[in-house]
Formats: sequence, C-alpha cells, structure tokens
Amino acid sequence: MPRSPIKRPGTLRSDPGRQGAPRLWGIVLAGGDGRRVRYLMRRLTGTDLPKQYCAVIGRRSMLQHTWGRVATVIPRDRIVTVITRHHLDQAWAQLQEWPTEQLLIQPSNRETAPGLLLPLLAIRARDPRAIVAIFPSDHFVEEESVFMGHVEQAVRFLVDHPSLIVLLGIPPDRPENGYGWIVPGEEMARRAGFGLFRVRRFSEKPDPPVGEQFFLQGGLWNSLVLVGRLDTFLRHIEEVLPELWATFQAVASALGTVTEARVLEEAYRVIPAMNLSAHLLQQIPHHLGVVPVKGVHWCDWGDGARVFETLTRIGKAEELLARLGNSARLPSREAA
Amino acid sequence: MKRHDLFRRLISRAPPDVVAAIYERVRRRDRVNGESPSWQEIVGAAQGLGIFTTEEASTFLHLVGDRLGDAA
Repeated sequence: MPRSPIKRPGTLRSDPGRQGAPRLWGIVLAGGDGRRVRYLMRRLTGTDLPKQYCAVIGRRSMLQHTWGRVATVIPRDRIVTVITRHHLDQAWAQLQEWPTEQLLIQPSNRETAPGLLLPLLAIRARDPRAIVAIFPSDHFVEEESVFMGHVEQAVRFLVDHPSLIVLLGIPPDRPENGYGWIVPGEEMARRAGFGLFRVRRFSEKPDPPVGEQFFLQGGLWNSLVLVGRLDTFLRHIEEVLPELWATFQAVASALGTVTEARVLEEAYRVIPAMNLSAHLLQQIPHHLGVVPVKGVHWCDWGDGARVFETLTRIGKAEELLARLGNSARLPSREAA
Repeated sequence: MKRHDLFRRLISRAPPDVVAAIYERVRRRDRVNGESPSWQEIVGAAQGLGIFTTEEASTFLHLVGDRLGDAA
C-alpha cells in the first residue's frame, strides 16, 4: 500500500468550525459515450453501454464506484450527476439507492464543457455560494480514501486562494500522449504535506504528441478532478465560451420547470461539442493551481490497453480474460 | 423485448412534454407536488402516439413496476 500523508478522509462535512462556510457540492460527469473502449465493453457486457455503466471489476459499475467515492466526502444530496438521455434507463437503474432529484439529463452528449455548465447552473439556483468538486465517472482509482483526501485538501487551499481552479495532477510513470498534461510552476502554498503549485503549462492531449517533453519537464497528468468556487467557474465560462454561456441562459431559467426538456433540446441542438480541458482550462492556465497526487494508482480508462494495464497491476487481468473468452489476448496500446 | 430497448425508444421518440413527464417520474418529484403524470399516463400517451403497441406498453409498465413499485 503506498504511503500517503493523509490519515482520515471525510472531515469537511463534519468540521464544526466550518459553520457558515460555503458548502461543497460534487458534480459527477457521466454523459460520455465511451466510444474508444466500446469494443471491450461490448464483449464484457454484451451491450453497447458506455464504460461508466459497466462493472469491469466487482459488481459495481464505474459510475457507482465514483458515487461511492465522492459520497465519502460530500453528502449525497449535494452530489449532482450529469447523464445523456439515451442512457437514462441505465443511470436510473444504477441510481436506485441514490437521490434521483440530483440527476441532470442532457438530450445528447456535447462533451464536458456543456456537461459541466449544466450542473453549475443547477447548483447556482440552489446555492450560489457553493464550492464545487468535479469528478469524471470513468476513471479507476485504487486508493479511494487517499484520493478523496487530496480533494479535501484542494478545497482547503481555496480558503487562501479563492479565485483559483485547483486540479489534481497525477505523477506520470511514462510519457503518455493520450492524456492531458499539466506542468507545475512555483509552489504557492503547502499544508499537511500537500503542495499547491501554479500551472506553467496546460495541454490537453498535445498535438503533435509531445508527451515525452512534458514527462521530462516534470509534468503531471490531468485527472480532470478539479475544485473551485461556483462563481469562478461561471465567470471563466462566460469569458472564454461566450456563445455557450449565452445559449445556456435560457436553460438556467428552465431548469426544474416543465419546460426544461424542451429548452435543453433546443440548446443542445445548436451548441457544438466542447471539451472542458481543451476549450476552457487550456485557455486560462494562470487561473489554475495543481495539487500533485501522492500514493494513489489512478487510470483514465480511455483505451483498452489502459484497462488491461490496470487489471494486470491489481491481479485481475486473468479474470477479465476469462470473461472475454479464450480467444482474448492483451491488446497492445496501438491496437486499442 | 428488453426494458432498456423500450425505454430508449420511448425517450427518443416521445414529444418534449412526455419527455418532461419521464424526467419528473425518474426524479420522483411527484412525491413532492403530486402533479407529475404517472407511468400509466406516460405509457398511455406513448401508445396513443404509436410509440408502443398495446403489448409493449403492458410489458413496459410491468418492467417499470417490478423495478420500482411505483408504476401507478
């Protein structure tokens, strides 16, 4: 078990000294279609479900693992999940033990920037002073409590750095071109063994692929787990993505009303797909901070090779191969 | 017929007001205001629109009711 400076997670919601402080909300992004690993999930489950709805390890899906992880730090009634409409049935079935009032339903997948703005507006209507923590639903995290301890620490850094958006950065073990990269700059703060660093460079899946350069510069992988004040996120979206912002003004007034479905349909018909990392975060590196994650095995299951790599690491690869059938072989990274 | 096939067909072909009713049911807001259409009304509308046959409507209600106990 890797060593970590974190001893116990879950202190944010029980800290009596924080009464009156902004409340922490969680946003789970589950609107993706999982196209890149569809072949693998189809063979595993016999359906075309995106990977966040699939149980690859154990009986819980990646989405259920994510909810469980997030709920160790954030109360369930403050966890908002964004899904895409054609997966509503799967989400609904997997949400049986969760408050479904927090489910936001996009008519279609327009990637992560609209997928974030939608829940931000929904949370603003209920708690405009909120702090939000954002979690993709298709990432593998082995030491979950240690990882969530980093999220708690990132939130604490906001006390002295309220205008920052703070990302969790994953120390890389290879010059991976398929991840976004964050090159940290000077240290801004340190507490309890955690460091908060400025972001010198932020590059989402660099093209041409220059992962080796970032690797040698001490870069970190972008986990896309980020925290910040609600109003900070909204201000940057308004400034950097004004057309998306303008389109969503009608959405903001319709959320929670009988016109929600129709207004969302109209908005999603006209907005292009926009990636949160490439279209927003990459444009505002000076407003970002990064907390390097220690003692956690993390993996974005964006391709089949990474899935097998993780399962090999935790001793589950043979089990998965057995489920796939005797003809299955470990895929190469290129083949995935 | 699998439940998710029926559900997907319903959600993709239904007009916005029926979709809104489905969202309401899924989020169970009707527990609060009691005004949201029931699954029977939603499926009845879908049947009227030609989205479901009588048999499919019955199957869908059965599957939804089995799962949640709130088909009515």
